[in-house]
Amino acid sequence: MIEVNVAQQGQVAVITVVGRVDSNTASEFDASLTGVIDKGTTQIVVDLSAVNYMSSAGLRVLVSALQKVQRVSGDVRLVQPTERVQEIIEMSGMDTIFQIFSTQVAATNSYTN
Amino acid sequence: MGDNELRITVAGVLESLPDIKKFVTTAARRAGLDDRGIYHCQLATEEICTNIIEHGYAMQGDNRSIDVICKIADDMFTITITDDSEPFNPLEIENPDPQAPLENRHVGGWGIYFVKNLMDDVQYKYEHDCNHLTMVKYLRTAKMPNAPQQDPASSIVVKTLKGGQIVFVPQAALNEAVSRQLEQLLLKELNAGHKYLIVDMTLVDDLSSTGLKMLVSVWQRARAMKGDIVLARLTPEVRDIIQVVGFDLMFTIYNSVEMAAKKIEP
Repeated sequence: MIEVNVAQQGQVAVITVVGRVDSNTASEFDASLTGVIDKGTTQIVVDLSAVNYMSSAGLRVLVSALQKVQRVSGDVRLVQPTERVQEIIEMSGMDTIFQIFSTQVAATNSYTN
Repeated sequence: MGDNELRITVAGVLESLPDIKKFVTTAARRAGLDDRGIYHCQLATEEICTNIIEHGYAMQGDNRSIDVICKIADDMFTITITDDSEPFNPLEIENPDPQAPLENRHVGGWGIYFVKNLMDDVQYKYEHDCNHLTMVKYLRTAKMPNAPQQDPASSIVVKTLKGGQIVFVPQAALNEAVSRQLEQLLLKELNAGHKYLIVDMTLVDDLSSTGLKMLVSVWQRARAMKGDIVLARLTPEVRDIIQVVGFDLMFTIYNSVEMAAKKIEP
C-alpha cells in the first residue's frame, strides 16, 4: 500500500511518499516522478520519512529519475529516510549519489541557496 | 529437535506478493526473529519472487506456481523458494558496484545483492526440474559480531516538542513486547500529570490485538482524567486495521505531528 502526494513549491516539486515501495507499488511512485519530470520540473524533493519499506524496485525508480534530471542539470534530493530504508540506501551506495536532508524545508531551500 | 515447517503455494504473479509477505512475516515472527530480521526476510523474499515472476515466468505466470517453505529450527530460520522456470542461478549474477558513479550505474540488479547482504546464508540448487533458492537467518542474531545489539528500551523514541507536548514514536510494529513498553511509558506520563500525549505511528506497519487493546485502555485512562491520547501519521496498514475495528471513530487522528501538537495543549 502506498500514497504519493505531489506539491509544487515554486520551481521545486515535493513528492511525499507514505507506506511501502515494493514491486507492486513502485509503478505508482514511478508514475508520479515521471509525471513531474515530463512536465518539465527538474528540481525534485522526495520525502521518504514515512516510507517503512523499500525494495530494489523503489531504488530503481529513484536512480532512473535522478539519471533523467541530471542530464538537464536537475536533481532529486531525499528527505529523512527511515532507518530501514537508510540501510539499503547505504548498502547500494546511493548515499553517494543522492543528497539527503533531514527536513523537507531544508531540501526545498537547498535549491535556492 | 522439533523442526517446524510451513508452506504456501501461490500463482507466479505480482499480485501474490502480499500473501507471500504475510506468510513469511508470520513464520519469521514465530521463529523469534526481531523486527529488523523480519524486515530483512520480507525484503529478500520479495526480491527473489519478483525476479521469478518478472524474468523466470516473464509475467506470464498465472498458471505457474511459486512455493515458499519456511522452516523454524532451534538456531536458524530458513526460507526456501521454488519455481519451475528455466534453470537460473541468481547467485551467479555479477554484483553491481555500490561505488559506481551515477552515469555508469545500472538501475537494476540490486535485488540479489540485497538478498546476499541481508541474509546470513543463501544457496541455490536445480533439482527435480525446479529452481530452489534457500535463504537463512541465524536466530539470536544479537550474538553475531556484526549485528547491532537490540536494546529493548530503544524500540520507542520519546520526544518533547517546543510547546511541551510529548510525542512517542514506536520504531516498529506494535507487537506484544513493544505494546507493553509503550503502555508503561504512556501511563508514566499520565500519572505524572501530562494528560495530552501524541503517538506518532509512522513506523508502525502492523498492530497486534494486544497493541489495539493497550491503546484503548490508556486512551480511556487519559479521557477519565479529561486528557487525550491522539494518533499521528498512521501507515496505510494500520489505518486499515483501525478502521476495521471502528477505532477511527474513537481516536483523534492527525496527518502530521505538527497538526496534532497544534490541537492539543500540554
